[in-house]
Amino acid sequence: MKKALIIGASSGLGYELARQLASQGNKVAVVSRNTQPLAELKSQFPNLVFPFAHDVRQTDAIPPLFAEICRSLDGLDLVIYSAGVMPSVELNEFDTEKDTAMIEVNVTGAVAWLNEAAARFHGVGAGQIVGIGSVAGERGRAGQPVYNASKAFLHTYLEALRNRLARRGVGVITIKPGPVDTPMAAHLSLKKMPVDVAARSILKLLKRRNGEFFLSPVHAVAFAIIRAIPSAIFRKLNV
Amino acid sequence: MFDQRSVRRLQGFGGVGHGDCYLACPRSVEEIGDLLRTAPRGVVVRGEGQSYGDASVLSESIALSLQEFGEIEIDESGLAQVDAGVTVGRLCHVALLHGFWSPVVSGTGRPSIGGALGMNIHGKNAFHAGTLGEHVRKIEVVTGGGEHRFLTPTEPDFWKFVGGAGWFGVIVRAWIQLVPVNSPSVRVTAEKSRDWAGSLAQLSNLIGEDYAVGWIDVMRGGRGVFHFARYSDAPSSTHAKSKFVQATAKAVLRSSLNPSVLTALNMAKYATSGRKSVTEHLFDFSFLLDSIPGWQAMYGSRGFYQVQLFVPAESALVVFVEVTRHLQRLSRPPQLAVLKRHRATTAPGWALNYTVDGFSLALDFARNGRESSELSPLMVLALDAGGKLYLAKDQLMTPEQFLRCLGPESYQELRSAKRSLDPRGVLGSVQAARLGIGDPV
Repeated sequence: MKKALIIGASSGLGYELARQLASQGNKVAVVSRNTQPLAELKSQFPNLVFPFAHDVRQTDAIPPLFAEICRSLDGLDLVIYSAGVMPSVELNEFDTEKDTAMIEVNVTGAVAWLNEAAARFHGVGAGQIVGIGSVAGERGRAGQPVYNASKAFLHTYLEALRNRLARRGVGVITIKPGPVDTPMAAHLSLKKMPVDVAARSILKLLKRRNGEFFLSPVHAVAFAIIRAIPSAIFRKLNV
Repeated sequence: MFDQRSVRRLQGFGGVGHGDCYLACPRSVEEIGDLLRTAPRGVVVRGEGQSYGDASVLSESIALSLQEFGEIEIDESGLAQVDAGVTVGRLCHVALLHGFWSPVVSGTGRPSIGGALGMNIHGKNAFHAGTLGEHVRKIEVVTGGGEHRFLTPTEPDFWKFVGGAGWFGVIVRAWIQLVPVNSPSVRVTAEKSRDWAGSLAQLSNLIGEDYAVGWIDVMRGGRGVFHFARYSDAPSSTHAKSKFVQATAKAVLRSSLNPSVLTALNMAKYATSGRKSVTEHLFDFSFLLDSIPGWQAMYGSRGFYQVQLFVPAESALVVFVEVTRHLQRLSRPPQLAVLKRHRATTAPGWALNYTVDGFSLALDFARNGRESSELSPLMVLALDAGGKLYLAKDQLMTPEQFLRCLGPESYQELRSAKRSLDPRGVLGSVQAARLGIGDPV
C-alpha cells in the first residue's frame, strides 16, 4: 500500500489520480481549495482518502500542513502536484493580476509543496515526486505566454530536482499531458484524451521512477520536432 | 525542539520494516526534558538501531537520539562513567587502554550503551555475569514526564529504565563496573557435540570459563561446535581478521544461502572444527561479525528475523528437539543458530526480565513472509515450557504471548509504571504498540 499526497485533487487529473490510487487500495491525502469533491472521494473510500482544505497560494500554511498530512498517512511515498490554472487569455491581453495569480498556483505553489516533499524524501532516501506539466511548456506561444512559461518553469524545476535527488534514491517524474478532457481544458476546441485514460497512463509511468514523459507517442514525436524549429520560423507558424 | 525537515528512514538491525521519523539530537538533559514535556507527537528512544526488530522504530514520531552524549571517564577501580551515546565497542576500546573490559558485551560492538542498557543485553558470559544492567552502579535518566533523576539498582524504578525498552524514559548516563584484564587476549578452546543432549552438556559445566558459546546445526539433531574462552595473560594477537579472511567470508555470506548451501556450510564447519586452542584478540572473539562488513547481505534485501528462545534448563532438551522437528518439517534451516547458557537474574525488580536459569537458542531466518505462521510456534514452545522471549530480538510476539512471558502481576506493574513515569504516554515504538503498551502517534 502506497501513501500518496495529491495537491490539486478537486477536479481533472488530480481527482482521477486520487480516485484510481484509492481504488487500488492506497492511502491518499487530497488537498484542494474546493472541498466538496474531496468529500465525495472520502465518501467513496472512507478509510483510504484523507481530505485537507488548502489554497496553494497560502505558502506559509504548507510546512505544518505537510507534517500533519504525513502523520495522518503514517508516512509518505508519493507526492503529485496537480494544481494548476489556465485562464483564457486574449491575444491582446496583458493582465498582470491574472498572470500573477497563475504564477502563484502553477509556480510558487508547486515550489512550496514540492520543496517540502523534496526535503523529506532527501532525508529519508526514498520516495517519488510527480509534477503535472504540459505540452504547453515546450515552446512560448502567442496564445498563453504566462501559462507556457509557468509550465516551462515547472519542467526545469523538476529536472533540477531529479538531478539533485536521484543520487538519494528519490524519483522525480515530469508528466507533459496534451489536452485532457478536464474542466481546465473545457474551453479548448481540440481532440482531448479521456481523463481516466490519462490518469491510468500516469500511474503506469510511476514504475519508471524518473524522467519526462508525454502521454502519447504522437506528442513525443511532434514535440521533438516542434522544439527543434528555430524561433524565427516558429514565430511564423500557427502551431 | 525538532526540525520538521530532519526526517530519516529508520529500521531495526534485521532490516524488516521501517519508519520515517523526525530526528532530534538534544545536547543536554534539560533539552531532553523539554522535548519530552512538550513533544507534539510520539517519541521513540533511538540508540544505534541495533535491536533486531521494531523496538526503536515508530513512524512519524520524533526519534530521540543521544548521539551528542559521547563521553567516557574511567577511574582506577574500573568504574566507568559512560554517556548513553557511546557504543559498546568504543567503551571496550577505551576500557582496554585502562586495563579493563566491559563486564558484558553484545555480539557486535555497534549498540549504544543507552540501547544496550535499555534492553539489558547479555553476552557469551551470561552464565556467570548475567546481564549488563547487573553491573551498573547508578544511572542518570530523564523520565517520560521530563523529570531528571539519578537511580541506583536498589530503587525499583531503576529496572524500569535498565531493561525497560525505552518505554518509561531515557537513560542519559551510566556508571558501569568494568572487569580488569591483564591483556586484550582470550584463550579459546573448541569442542564438538553430536546432538542436542551433547550440546547442552557442553554448556552445563563451565567452571573456570569466562565465555562459552555454541554454534548449532539445528537441522542435524542439534550437533554443534563450541567455543570456550578464558582471559589470557598472553600478548595480544592481531586485532581484526586479515583482508583475505574478510574477503572470503564476505563472498560466502553474500552468496545465495539457500537450504542446500546452508546444509553444506554447516557440515563443512562441523567437519573442520576439532578440539584445538588458540589465542584471540578480545575484539575478534567478542565482535566476530564486525570484522565482516555487510554480513547481513547474506539474508537478502528483505531482511531477517531473529527468534531467541530462553528455556529453563530442565525443559531445554525437550524444547530444542521439538524446535529441530518443527524446522525439519518446514525444511527451513536457520542461517545461524547460537546456543548460550544463562543464569537467573539477580535483579528481582526487573519487570521485563527475560532471563532464566537455563539456555537460550538464537535462530536467524531470512525473511520469507511466512514468519507469523512458521516461527510463532517456536515461541509458543518456549513459553509452554516456562521460558521467556527477549524484546531486543522480537518482531513477532503477540500481546497474549507478551502477557504470558511477563505474568499478569508484572504486566499490571508495567502499565502502572507507564502511567506514573510517562503520564502523557509520549514514549513508544512499533513494538510497544504491538504489545499493547501504548501507541503515542
